[in-house]
Amino acid sequence: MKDKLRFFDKVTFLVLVAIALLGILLIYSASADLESKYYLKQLVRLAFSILCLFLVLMIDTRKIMEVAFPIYVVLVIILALQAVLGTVMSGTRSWIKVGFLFIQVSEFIKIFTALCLARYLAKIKIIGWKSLLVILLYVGIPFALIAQQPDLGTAFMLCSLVLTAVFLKGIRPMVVVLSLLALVAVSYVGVKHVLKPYQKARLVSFLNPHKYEQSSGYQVIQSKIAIGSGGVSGRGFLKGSQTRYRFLPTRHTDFIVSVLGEEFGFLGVTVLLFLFFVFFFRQLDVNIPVRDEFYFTYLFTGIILFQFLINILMTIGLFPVLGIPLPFVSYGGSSLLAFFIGEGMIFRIRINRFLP
Amino acid sequence: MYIDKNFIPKIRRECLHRRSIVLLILLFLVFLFAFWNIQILHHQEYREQALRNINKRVYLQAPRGLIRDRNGRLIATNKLDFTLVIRRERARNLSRTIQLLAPIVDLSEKEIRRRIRKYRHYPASYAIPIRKNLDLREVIIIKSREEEYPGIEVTHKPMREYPLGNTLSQIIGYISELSPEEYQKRETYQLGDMIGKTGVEKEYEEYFRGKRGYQDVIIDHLNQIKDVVYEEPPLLGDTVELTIDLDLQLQLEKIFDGYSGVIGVSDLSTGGILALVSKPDFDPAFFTSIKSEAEWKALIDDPSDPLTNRFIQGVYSPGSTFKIVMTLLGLEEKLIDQTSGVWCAGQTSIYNRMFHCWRDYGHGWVGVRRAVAESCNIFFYHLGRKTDIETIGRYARLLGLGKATGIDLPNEKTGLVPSPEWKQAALDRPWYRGETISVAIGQGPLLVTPAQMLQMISTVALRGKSPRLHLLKTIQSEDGVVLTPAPDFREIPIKKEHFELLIEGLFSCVQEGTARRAKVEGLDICGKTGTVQVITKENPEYEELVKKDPFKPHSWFVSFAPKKDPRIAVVVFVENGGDASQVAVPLAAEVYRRYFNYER
Repeated sequence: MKDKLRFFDKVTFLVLVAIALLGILLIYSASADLESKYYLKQLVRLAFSILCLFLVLMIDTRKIMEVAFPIYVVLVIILALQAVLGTVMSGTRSWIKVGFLFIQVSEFIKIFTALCLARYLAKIKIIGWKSLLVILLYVGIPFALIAQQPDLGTAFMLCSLVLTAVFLKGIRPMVVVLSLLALVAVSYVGVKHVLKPYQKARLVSFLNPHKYEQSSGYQVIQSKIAIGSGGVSGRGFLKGSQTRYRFLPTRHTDFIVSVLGEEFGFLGVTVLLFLFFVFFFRQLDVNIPVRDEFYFTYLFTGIILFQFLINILMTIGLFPVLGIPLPFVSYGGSSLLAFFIGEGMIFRIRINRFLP
Repeated sequence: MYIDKNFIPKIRRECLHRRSIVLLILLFLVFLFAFWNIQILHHQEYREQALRNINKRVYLQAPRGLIRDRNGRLIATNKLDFTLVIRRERARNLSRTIQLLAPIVDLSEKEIRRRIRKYRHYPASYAIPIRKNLDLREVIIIKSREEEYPGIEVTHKPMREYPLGNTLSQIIGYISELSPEEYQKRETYQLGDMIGKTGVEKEYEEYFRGKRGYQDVIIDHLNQIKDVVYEEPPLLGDTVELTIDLDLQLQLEKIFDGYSGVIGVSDLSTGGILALVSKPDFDPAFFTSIKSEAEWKALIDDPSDPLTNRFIQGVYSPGSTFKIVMTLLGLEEKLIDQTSGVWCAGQTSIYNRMFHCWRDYGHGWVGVRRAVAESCNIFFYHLGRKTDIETIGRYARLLGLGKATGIDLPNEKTGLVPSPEWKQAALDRPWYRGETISVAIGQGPLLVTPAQMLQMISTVALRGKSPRLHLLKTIQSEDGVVLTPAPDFREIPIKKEHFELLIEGLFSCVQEGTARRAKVEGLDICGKTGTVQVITKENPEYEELVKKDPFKPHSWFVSFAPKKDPRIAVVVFVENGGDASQVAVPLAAEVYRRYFNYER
């Protein structure tokens, strides 16, 4: 216990907590006019998540690796059951009720998909046809189940695992070419027949936001107005008119960076970017010799990085509005807890080499 | 260090790490640039858009100026009106919204759709009024659901109120939403503003209007006002005080209840109208609420024509009242004098045609005075033979016929004074001498309005001083009097003594002539009757038909009192009222009784 805390990366941990606290500050501003105390709820969740992080830190990584696949299977079964039995809440079936809590299983399956993939990648040399198929199965099953909830944003984030896997292992050129062709074909069919009308509307409005000013394009336009009107130093805490008068949509979740941009300006955004940069920089550790541990660290960091990337591109209008929250910052318990549990494992992995 | 298949060689790890960090740095540089671009390079335009989002100017309609009678009693005022409006651009599901609203505001869905459709050429942001005059209960129900059904709103603004209902409606006129054509012509108006359409409301629109105020407000994404930054309050329009005496007016309305036609009373010291009843009338509040198509149709197709102000827009044959013009013509042109007379045998032959007096057995020997008093046709036939249609036209116009009186009401009709040129142009036929004989007793193609007749009898009462009839006493703003028109009299080039002689005739008309029922004790009333047949006596069924409503003759009586130093002149006109002596004359007597009684 003492050893673990001695070698534990305090800087990364503090940066993480700082990011989460900044998030709570922004949630406070984003919901200042609402009755429910969102920021308090998020603060409680943060405390609980930190506790979980330390609990996970105590567990032997090998043991987790061994139970990763069974847990993955269980979560897939839960997702499948949800697909059949789940009740619709705020337009999706992503939530299951545990006691008085609502939990999004889809957030947690990211961790275990990453773990399973990490173990699999440790066994292969380079990605060929067979291994690509295995990877796609690992990712594709939860992807399909989550996408039909429908929660395209979360499902989409799982895809980042495939890219990171390719980045880590390399891939045969023929496989790349042929699978890209297949991807084009699949997405054509997907857009034509599978996407729900509102999802299509988002795609279309992304391509031409001003034409859809009153509907789907509205969100992006208002988000850019919020960010742009912040200027260098922002309009001041609680003083952003886009946030305060609710022109900004889903401002405590997907568009929380717009709140930051409006109230704290370019300086505030730079601080957040810098914190994330430090976090990623330290977490992409070179000194993880064990194969699956190294791969898990990079795969899971890859998910965070992608989600961070897509969320920010979304708020500045460079990516379609998919409903992807900003990791550690946006309001939401399941996402926060899942990321902190994953972080717990990574913190442990990074001190394993110092342990007997 | 580790040479095991469970471990990754350090060199491989370092390679992956290096690539990751390069990607990371690139990503952060791109992000920094992207935010730099939005927040610093394009800050100004986004800032302006943000301000445009929240800043809005809300216009505050000015309360319309009041209308008062000559003693300051209220005729038209303002109340706070709650109106349900729909903005199409904000309504997400219009059909659902309409479904919800229909039972609350007690209108059919079809009717609500029709009201919305009427504004289809207006901008989508326009607040389409669905129902005005919401009561408090309805306001509360709608307000509680505004969030649920975006696009519906309850607005409130001052609205014209007419506390007296139909009373004076023909004079006040009405206001309603200005039409798109009117909007194009008037720069200071906004779509949806109310504007005077007829009557005094139209005549003095520029004074009533006041000055629109505004509020600069902060709104949220649902268009709800969050804060008022600046307010310029609206200015109440000017108060228009009329020459109308409301007490007299209300009494006359009661007397005239059930009749169709006009009673007009002028104040001879100024030419101001003291009372003016024109029936049938309407409820001016009809036009400030929103009506269904059926209600509109009912009003427009109403055969009694309640929207026409018969005082200035009804044109009728003057009948025997025209003998006033003929008498003055005869005296001034020296065709007759005090001593001249005619033997009336009930009929006479002129230009080989028989002309009849209204009294079959004749009047016997008649001079000027009796001819006027008894309204003897034969006397005036002979006068007509001595003159020509041009001269008659000249005198008629001199006394104000054939042209607008210039009263301060819009859309006044001019009537018709015939001339050979007119007949040639209108009917493509020459003027016949025989027609001049008919015109001499007020028949033929002569058309006058009751307003012209009131002006004519006022001129006679004042012995040649013709007053300009008017309704405006003063216009007052909060700072004081804006406008008080000076009495306007015009001298008619006819000798005073000729008027005196005519007035003798008019006096005996009431004393012993056709207007005997106008006698009021202690008051010297002078007047002239006129009974205008609407079907000819040659009609074989005349005796039967004339007793039925639409064929009864129109009934005129023009008069003034007292004979010396006259104070008021009165015109009574009853559409299809019957014989003037039986209908118009007693009504006029009632007017004098009320006026001179309550004054004491």
